[in-house]
Amino acid sequence: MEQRDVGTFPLAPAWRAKLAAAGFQTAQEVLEVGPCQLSKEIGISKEDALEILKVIKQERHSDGAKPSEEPETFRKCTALELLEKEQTQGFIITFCSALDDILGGGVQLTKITEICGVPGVGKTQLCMQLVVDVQIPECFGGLAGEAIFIDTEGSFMVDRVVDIAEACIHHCRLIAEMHPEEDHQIALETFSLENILSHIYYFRCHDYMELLAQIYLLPDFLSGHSKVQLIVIDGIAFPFRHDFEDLSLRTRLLNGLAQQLICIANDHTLAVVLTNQMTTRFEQSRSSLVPALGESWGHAATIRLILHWNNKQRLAVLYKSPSQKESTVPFCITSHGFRDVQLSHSNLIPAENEANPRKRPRIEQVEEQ
Amino acid sequence: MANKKLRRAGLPQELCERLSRHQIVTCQDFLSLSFLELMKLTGQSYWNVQKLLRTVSQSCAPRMQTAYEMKMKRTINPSTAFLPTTLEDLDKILHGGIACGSLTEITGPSGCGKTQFCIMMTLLATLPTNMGGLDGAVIYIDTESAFTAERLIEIAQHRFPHYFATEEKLIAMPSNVHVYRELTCEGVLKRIQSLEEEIISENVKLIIVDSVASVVRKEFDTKRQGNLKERSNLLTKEASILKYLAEEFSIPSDSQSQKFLQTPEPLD
Amino acid sequence: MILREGLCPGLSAEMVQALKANGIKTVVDLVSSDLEEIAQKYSLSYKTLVAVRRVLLVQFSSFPVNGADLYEELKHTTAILSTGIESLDKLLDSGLYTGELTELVGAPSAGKTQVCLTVAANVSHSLKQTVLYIDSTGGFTGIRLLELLNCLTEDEEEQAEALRRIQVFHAFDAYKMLDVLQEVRSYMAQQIFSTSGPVKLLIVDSVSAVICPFLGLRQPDGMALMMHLAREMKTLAKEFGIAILLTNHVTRDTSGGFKPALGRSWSFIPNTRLLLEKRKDTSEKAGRVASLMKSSRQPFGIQAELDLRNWEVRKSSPMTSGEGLNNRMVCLSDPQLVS
Repeated sequence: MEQRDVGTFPLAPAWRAKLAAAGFQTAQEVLEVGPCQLSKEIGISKEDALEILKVIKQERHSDGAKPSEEPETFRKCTALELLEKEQTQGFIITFCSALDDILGGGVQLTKITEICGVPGVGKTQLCMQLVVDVQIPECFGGLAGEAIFIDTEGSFMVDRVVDIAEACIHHCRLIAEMHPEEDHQIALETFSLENILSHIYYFRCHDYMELLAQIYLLPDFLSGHSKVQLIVIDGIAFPFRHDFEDLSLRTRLLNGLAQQLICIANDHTLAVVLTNQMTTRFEQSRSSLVPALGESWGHAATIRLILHWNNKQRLAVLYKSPSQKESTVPFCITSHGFRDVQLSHSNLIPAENEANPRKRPRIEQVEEQ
Repeated sequence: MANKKLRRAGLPQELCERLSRHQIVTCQDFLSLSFLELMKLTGQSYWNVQKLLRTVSQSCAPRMQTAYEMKMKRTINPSTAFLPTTLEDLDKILHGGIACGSLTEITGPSGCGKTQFCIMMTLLATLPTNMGGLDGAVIYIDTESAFTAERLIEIAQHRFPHYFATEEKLIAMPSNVHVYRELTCEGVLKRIQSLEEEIISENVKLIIVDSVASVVRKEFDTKRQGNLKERSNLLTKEASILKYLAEEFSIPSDSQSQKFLQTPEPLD
Repeated sequence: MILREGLCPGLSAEMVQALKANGIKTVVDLVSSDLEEIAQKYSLSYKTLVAVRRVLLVQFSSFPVNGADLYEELKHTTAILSTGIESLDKLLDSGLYTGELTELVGAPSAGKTQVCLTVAANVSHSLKQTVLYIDSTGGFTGIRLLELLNCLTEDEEEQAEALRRIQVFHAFDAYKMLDVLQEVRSYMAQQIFSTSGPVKLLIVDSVSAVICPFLGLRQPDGMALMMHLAREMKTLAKEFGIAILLTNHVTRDTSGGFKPALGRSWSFIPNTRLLLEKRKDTSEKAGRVASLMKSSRQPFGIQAELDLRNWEVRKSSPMTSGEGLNNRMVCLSDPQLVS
């Protein structure tokens, strides 16, 4: 490991050039000299020389044989350990069991899930559903986590979240009545509307600058709010779709953003959900709807979900996933949030009707029993 | 926000000067750079660059609020949360009317009453709060020359005969409506960009753009490819400014587009 | 190499001092300078200088090897690892060669990660060898790997064994990746993995994810970093005789077609390059086509069909996640099921 090239260390290019000019090639050669000698040899101040040594040593420490160090154990593990971790960490359910199924149980932690779709198909609805669902107490099979909502389009409606949260609380009550267990009651006491709402941390980013800045600051925020298990970025595309002359800059920024997000997701064991718009692409004479932001962005998300309309039916397509096969399921959005399509009301139900009355009788049926 | 100078972001003076030699003056310039470029331009190592990035980010990142705080803000002051349309069924679906602080799009084929709806909303917004209005001025950006003051007065007299019984009231109302006739894309964009001051000085509570589509359609031929991109660029820019204004001043803004034009961005 | 006292016999501390004072700091500086002039100018013994130079040259130059020896050595050290996918093996001339870099290129959801996971499962289980897996996109999932292993063996113990042999590293930026490669190298040198068989395979999924954020128009440093990564992997492959499997993204070129990301200079790095594509014309969604874009053994452009459906799984896996939890979640997600 002493043979490591000096150029592979994160040093400022000017220093690197100086080191190379003085003949330093490997880490060992640099480490053999003290800071004073180094400063003389390459002609920089003693402070800078110390900084260089620190950078190289720091790397060596985290490289070295100290398995007790926290980030170290985190970065390397066997597949078996990873599997065990995956199996215990759980999922964020969507309240649409068909969708949960094709996702392998729900939205996965430590992964980036991208939701694409045309306006009005329910991307933001799904996001709002998820920020509520992530907070379901553990005894009900939830994660008892908290959520960050980063909004670039201003489409977060707090009144709508209230609806969804109330439906969710109501739902948990029903389960508690069905299976009267003590921990259910205790959990329900704290699972209130007020609690749910105050554990949704909302950021409104008006341009891509604010978004980038916010992402840089997320690790700090997360270390203060360790229970956060979900980060939603609603409208990742919006700030990147105007004012961009330089497309290569855009690609670069987006790629960097994706790497930062996956890093955060892994370090803090949380799920990242992004929403993306659709755009028309022209190929020869045909035009087709594809997710926005271009080809290289397609690699950013680990899981990609595309929502679209088929006649009056909303469909979700799992387009990309490392663990599940591609498939399509219907879903619907009721006044209570994201839900399964009821079989009895087959595909013929117009979208307008599902807004209100349909859900009510269903709940009443449950209550009667 | 993005134009915030690095000087005000809490970076050392020396570093700012060094960066400005490379034309890095604003936070936007700074944050657009990759690690490698930053390392090169600042002459610092990875860890220090991380620290610098955090400092700059801190100065331009948005403030956090919880959903609970947002909800409380709304419940404390319910009258400013929505502008009721006075159409009962519609209000119910919309949770109480057109939401303040956000962008609402009204779309439909020609002749189905989009402009009528806009004129009615103009009237409603000028009404005092005890009558369900917002008690403020309205900016009406008219791109189709479809707005007529006569119609406004007609609706006013018909809908609220008691309130508008006196001549004085009837004259005061239209004086609160600022109509701009903009017939080019550039004009619309310029107008939207310069609204901020007027909103403050005139106590504007509602902005209406009637319609976004017509000027755009006139000037951009969809058949030519480059045009489409330019068009969507323009529309997104307009939307983003309108959204900003709406949130900053908690006013609803309507923009109208015709059904035939697929607006590539959701203007909800 | 910096000139140091004791680097070779005859090179004394005074000499190093004198040379250094005159700007001759490294072996290269010394070898390439005019010795006569140095001897004259700095009053050093010409004879010693020549002797030192000769020793240094011998020490630091490479030995010539003839073809026959090379071939012999190759036969002893090269192994070919089967990927576990028959058609792919055929395309690669029977598998992944150690000492070489094989690159998978493909659009999103073309199946790059799937191939990586399958290869990992196969090498770990069938060949009983340790696999190193560097994940830079978060695409590695243990659950899917278990499903794949479940196709190979029913025995839980064997599955666990195979999983234990796969070492996963997470590296989300280029410097982390370099750190990890360094770590790999030091482990290889110490043969820490020797208890569970020698390491023959390193998988890097994906290489472009960490490099792309640095590449752009005015980004010479990004390019340098990329080349560092490339060299590191090349030497790893050669020095320790391991096969390296990489994945790379595609970008759209001006004419609307696909091309591998990272540009021209990267295209010289991998020994073999495979393009993965989704089949468009069939209704079978899982059908993938792999075509050879670069190879020193097989003709360019030949294709093979990969059938991802075959890897699809009987869900009866004994270890799949906490049943109880799952049931509960299902019941949670619809009130009707509760009643």
